Amino acid sequence: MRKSLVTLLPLLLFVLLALLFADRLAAPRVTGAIDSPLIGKPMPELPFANWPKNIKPPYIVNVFASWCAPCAIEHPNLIAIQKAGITIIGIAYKDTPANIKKYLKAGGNPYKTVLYDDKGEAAILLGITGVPESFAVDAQGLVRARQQGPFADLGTINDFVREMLK
Amino acid sequence: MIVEIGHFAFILALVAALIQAISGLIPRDSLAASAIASRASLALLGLVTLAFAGLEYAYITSDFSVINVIMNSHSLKPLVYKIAGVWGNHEGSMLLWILMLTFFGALIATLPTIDDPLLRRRALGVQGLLTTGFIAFSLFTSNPFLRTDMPPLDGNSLNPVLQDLGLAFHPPILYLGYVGFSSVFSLAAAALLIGRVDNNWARIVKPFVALAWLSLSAGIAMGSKWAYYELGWGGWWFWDPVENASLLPWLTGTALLHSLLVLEARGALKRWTILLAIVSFSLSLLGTFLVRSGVLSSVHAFAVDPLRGTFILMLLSVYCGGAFSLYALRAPMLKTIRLFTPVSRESGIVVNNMILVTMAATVLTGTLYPLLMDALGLAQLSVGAPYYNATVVMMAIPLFILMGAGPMLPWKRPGRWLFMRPLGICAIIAIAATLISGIKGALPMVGFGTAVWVMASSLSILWIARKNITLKTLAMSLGHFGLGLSVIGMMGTMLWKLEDIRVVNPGDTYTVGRYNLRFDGVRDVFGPNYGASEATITLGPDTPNTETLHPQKRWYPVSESETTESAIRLTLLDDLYIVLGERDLKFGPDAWVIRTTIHPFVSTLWAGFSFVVLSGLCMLGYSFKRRRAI
Repeated sequence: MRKSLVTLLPLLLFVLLALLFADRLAAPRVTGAIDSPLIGKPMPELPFANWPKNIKPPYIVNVFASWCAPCAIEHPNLIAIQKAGITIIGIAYKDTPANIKKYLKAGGNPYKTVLYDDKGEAAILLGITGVPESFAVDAQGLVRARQQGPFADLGTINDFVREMLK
Repeated sequence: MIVEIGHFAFILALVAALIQAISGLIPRDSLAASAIASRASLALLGLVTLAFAGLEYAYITSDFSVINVIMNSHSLKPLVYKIAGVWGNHEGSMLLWILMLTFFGALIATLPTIDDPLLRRRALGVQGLLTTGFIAFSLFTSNPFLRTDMPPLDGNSLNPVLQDLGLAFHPPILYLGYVGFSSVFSLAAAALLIGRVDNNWARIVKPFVALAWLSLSAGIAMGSKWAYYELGWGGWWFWDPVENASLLPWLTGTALLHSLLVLEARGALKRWTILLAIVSFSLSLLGTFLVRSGVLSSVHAFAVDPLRGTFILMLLSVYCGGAFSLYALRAPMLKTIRLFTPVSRESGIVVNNMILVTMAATVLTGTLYPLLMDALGLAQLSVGAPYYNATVVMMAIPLFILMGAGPMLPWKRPGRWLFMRPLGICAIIAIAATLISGIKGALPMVGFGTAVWVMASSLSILWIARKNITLKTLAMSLGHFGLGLSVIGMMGTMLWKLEDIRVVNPGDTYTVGRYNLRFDGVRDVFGPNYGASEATITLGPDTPNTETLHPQKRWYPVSESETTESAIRLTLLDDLYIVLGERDLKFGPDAWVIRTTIHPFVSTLWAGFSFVVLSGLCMLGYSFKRRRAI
């Protein structure tokens, strides 16, 4: 009997460990994921001569392009929040005014203004990895959230706007 | 299309793994079941290789319609990093894990040294169960073959720190070690199922243990070398939870290597050896769980997903819980020999095992202590180097003393005390070397003395056996000698490190240790995807043979990351390590902070590790030989 107790010991130790792990897995975790170094900081000054100084935050900065398929997918969602009274500044990434005009004519124009980042300098300052990407700037001019990729549905864009208006 | 073929092969592999598990474990003994299990394992290896090749193809051709490629590659990456990118992420590394599981399965099916058909079939069954679980985990929670409807123009990952050859190729070797213990686990579980553990089993298991241990040693050595040279932290071991996770199976695996010797020679330590075999792979699984579940924070951790954590915990519970239950049921039936004389090879190995396992338990406690405290709501803390230095280092001293003496002791009982003379000579050499070296302080003296003692004893064993050096003797002496040598390197980096941090203006000269240095200023340089500040430091400015060093601080604008490229000058005696810090305008317009470190004897650390790996190779070589028990 004593013999089998000794051989049972590893199993008991393992069960205790597994219980500890299960408890830790279930525990809420601080993810601490910082998805952009800009978050919590003022929006960087972007290298546009014609930056619209008269547009006051809060607003969304949306980097897009007429050649980008996901941008067309999120476009109706941008139109929807623009209709709800949210200001969106568009940055056309490596694109031409003629193409943008055609693009906005076809899908509607959600942007207060469109700036042309044809060399990708603003994109570097914003640290974007692709188009589309969006940044939520709150009333104090601080970046509150970043969206990589399209707003696939109204839910995600509403969460984004809520973060901005907090 | 090729990616889909890989994906499909991977799904078929799940079926093949199930077939292998079922045919391996059905109780009825039949030749057909054996044949099916063996063939399923070979088919499985083929299918998973196909799957792996499919994913490699997607990476090499930069197919950005595969989500995994988007997340972890970039068209501008050099080819070799595209290839290595496959296992640089959770999903792909899981696929590599599975590839190795199937490799070891096929090895169990084909290795001619396994002369027990039932053991082979049962082991294939257990290995099949392991593979089934991990393929299911991969397919259902971490599928690397998923596509996206909207392929982007380029990938997301160009992380400059990870573009390093050492880093790219240390995970596969480390995994070969971790997963290698799966075959040992399967053979142990199979032996428990059959109820037969003897010296023949020890002989069968040995090549698997040797291969796993060898790969794990090489993987750990490569990882610490990478940390030392690339991270610019100047350390080679940080007691990070993930590093500990690789050390744990190494410690129990080392214990297993030695207890197998006793089992093979004396037919003793049956239960203990089986337990070590199960524990070694369980600790490998534990490491996987810790890295991939996110319960511990670590520099090595993969992206966190609670579902994955739950799934791995389930696998861990089934496999380890199952094996330990089997052990609790079957181990009491194994008969063992208890009569050991106190001064004998086998007693030495028992003590060695006790120390190694206590070390492993200590490291495990330290690694999991923060979790436990957090779970009990007591405190959020982390356990650092002082804990490990105070405990593990202290245990290493008796271990090293034993390491020098043990191999001289004869099996069973010492008829004649012939071993006393060479041991006495080694002890005198060690004491004399310590006194001559002029080392001060109790701990450094003991550390240096035991290192010399181990090296002297290993060499004298080779000398005694000079007429007839077998691979077995060579494996043992090389391994012990290498560990002794690496202790000197460890002491160099821990105790005799010289560090100098200062602010310098161009033209300033300064001295650190045996080096005279002159700071010649900093200029801007540009690389393909970064900008850098590069310092010029002239070594020995007054001598005719001057040499310049160029530490850099790089800035990668796209990924917003900064890296330090330390300048390193390697000699046999020491490493000179210069890191460029920040510009400090308080001290002048071109004043910079420079950190200069001298790490003595680092080359002996790597040489020592190389000897250990070499000893593993020798062990692998002789373990294939068929031999009779003593």
